Amino acid sequence: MDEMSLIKRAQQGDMPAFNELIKPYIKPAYNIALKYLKNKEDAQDISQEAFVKVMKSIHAFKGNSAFSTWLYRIVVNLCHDFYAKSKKRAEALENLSFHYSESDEEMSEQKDKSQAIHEVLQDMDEEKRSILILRDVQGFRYDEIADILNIPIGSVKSKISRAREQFKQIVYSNRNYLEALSIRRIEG
Amino acid sequence: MKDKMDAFRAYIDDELEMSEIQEFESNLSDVEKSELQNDIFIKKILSESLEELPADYMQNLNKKLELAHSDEAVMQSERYNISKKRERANFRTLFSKLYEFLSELFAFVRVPRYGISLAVLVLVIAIVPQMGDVVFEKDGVYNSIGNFGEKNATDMISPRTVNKSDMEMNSYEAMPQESGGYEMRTEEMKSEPSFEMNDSGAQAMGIMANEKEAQSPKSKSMDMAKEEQKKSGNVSEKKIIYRCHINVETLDFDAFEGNLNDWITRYGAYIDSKNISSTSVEDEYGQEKRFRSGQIVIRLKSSGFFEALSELRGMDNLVSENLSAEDISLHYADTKQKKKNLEAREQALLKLMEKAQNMEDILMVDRELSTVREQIERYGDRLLVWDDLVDYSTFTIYVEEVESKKPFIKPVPKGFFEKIGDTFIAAINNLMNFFQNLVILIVYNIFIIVLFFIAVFVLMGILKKKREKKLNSSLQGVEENSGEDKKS
Repeated sequence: MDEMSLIKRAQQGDMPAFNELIKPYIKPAYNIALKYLKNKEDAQDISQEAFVKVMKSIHAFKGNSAFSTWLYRIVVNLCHDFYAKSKKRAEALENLSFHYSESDEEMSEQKDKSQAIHEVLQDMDEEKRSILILRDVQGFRYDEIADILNIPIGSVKSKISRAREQFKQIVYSNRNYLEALSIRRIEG
Repeated sequence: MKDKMDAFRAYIDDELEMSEIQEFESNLSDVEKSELQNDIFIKKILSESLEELPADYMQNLNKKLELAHSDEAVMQSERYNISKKRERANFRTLFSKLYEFLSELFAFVRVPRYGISLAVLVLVIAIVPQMGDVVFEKDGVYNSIGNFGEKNATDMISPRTVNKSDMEMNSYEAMPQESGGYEMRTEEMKSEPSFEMNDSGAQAMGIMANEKEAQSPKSKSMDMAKEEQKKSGNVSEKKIIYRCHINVETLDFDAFEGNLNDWITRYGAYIDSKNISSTSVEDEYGQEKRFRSGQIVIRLKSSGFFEALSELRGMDNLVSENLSAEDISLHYADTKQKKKNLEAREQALLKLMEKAQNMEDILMVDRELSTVREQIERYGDRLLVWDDLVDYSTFTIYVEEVESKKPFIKPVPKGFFEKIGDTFIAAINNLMNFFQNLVILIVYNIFIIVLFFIAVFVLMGILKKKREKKLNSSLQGVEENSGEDKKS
């Protein structure tokens, strides 16, 4: 069944159709929230809250934008609100183990890398982080990002460059990040 | 600088043509090449950083969606009740205005009564055959009003089964049917109160009911509660959150409120929130009547939940019931364990703090300590909220004051005479439905009817005048003849 039919059925309260509709977006939505908020539990809560919100307001979805864009916009907005309310909450417990836990050595390389990415993203400006997550983590097109963030496509292009630059500078500023991400600092 | 960054972006995002790529690469210095390599590498590791969903993610999501969906269904029914009341008020006003208009019109045209009756009869005969085809749109719900008998049969909804597959569908009662037909929401709400449980709640209560077993939900839920309480000894040990949404109709709001207050006192409950509003409705005689309705949220000790629910059911006309039992035992234990681990980590950090030798270390440990304490506090708050929800069940009662209670039909007659009785009630309901639908149809065709009546009155007026004219001319002829006779 195509997406439009599923949307129509979901708008009439058909729950299995709604579940089918959101199925492909669950993992990306969770990952957006995870990268945005870092804390896994918060990411789970916020992404799930987004789906509940989508379910409650699906009757108001007019199809002016793609369903995915609408859904991701809700996820990003919720993340933004949550982050604004409690910045500190976004810090994950893994921070602690990263620096102090006795299990540092046991930590796999992959976990180090993912943890470092999380931390660098948290140190970024919120807007740049959103764009970087949507473009480089999720692989959305510029026009999709423009729709989700409700900004002109030109701004997306200019901001993605600055976001990448900021990400890189944060990595350069911390030896742990350089090691975890296997990046060599360029002097020049 | 801006151009350089933009060129980097275009190169990384594969936006350049082959010739542009070659030109771009040839103009790069060694440092820029290394920077570019780093940028590309960063993009790669970011794109590879997608993580799998946590193991319990889907389970939790489904639970939240189901819960939200059932809340939404209750809200919809509440909204529908309010709109129905407004509709009724509008109908009354419309009919009284129409009645006045027609009376004045009849008086003006002096149409004999049998003429009106005849016109109505012709109109009914002309309209009734359409009834099977006409489809109305009301509140976004399309409803076929044909096939009264069949409709009634489906309206007498059998009690909800509580097997697992049905539980998955338990929230969709007010929604369109797969076959393309649609059932009216009010009639669904008149069905035997249904009770809902989410998957885990149902499992927690050991429900393995089939359709036959589920024929008496009231006794069933009580039995389950007793069984559950026997098994666990104490409801709170299982960490189950009980919630109940109830829609009640009452003829006397004050009496209901009094009974409810007694009930609250008896069960040591308390009112969490109360929102009552009143609506004025004009009856057919133009007199204003006020009806109250509102939502009352009551919390009471979970140990007395089912006993209290049973009593609440008998308090007034129960229109619908939506019961949910959410088992949070696993989440509760998990969160408790996490909190415990964090508390251990907090102690370890305190020890580290003691060992820290320079200010930088102290500050870092302090930062982590505050993070851990925040998490501990958060988990603690979450546990407190759960404890409260588990210890105290939540009743959300939507009460509506009405002029007359909706007729209620028992779905499964037990004996021959009960069957006869129920059939008789069904026949009355059938008749009521017929007349209700007839009235709706008349209102639907009101403008055609008015035009029809006007045409009939005008026609009758013309005929009357012609008749009078004919009578006058014949009288005149008679008079002339008699004059001639006199002359002769």
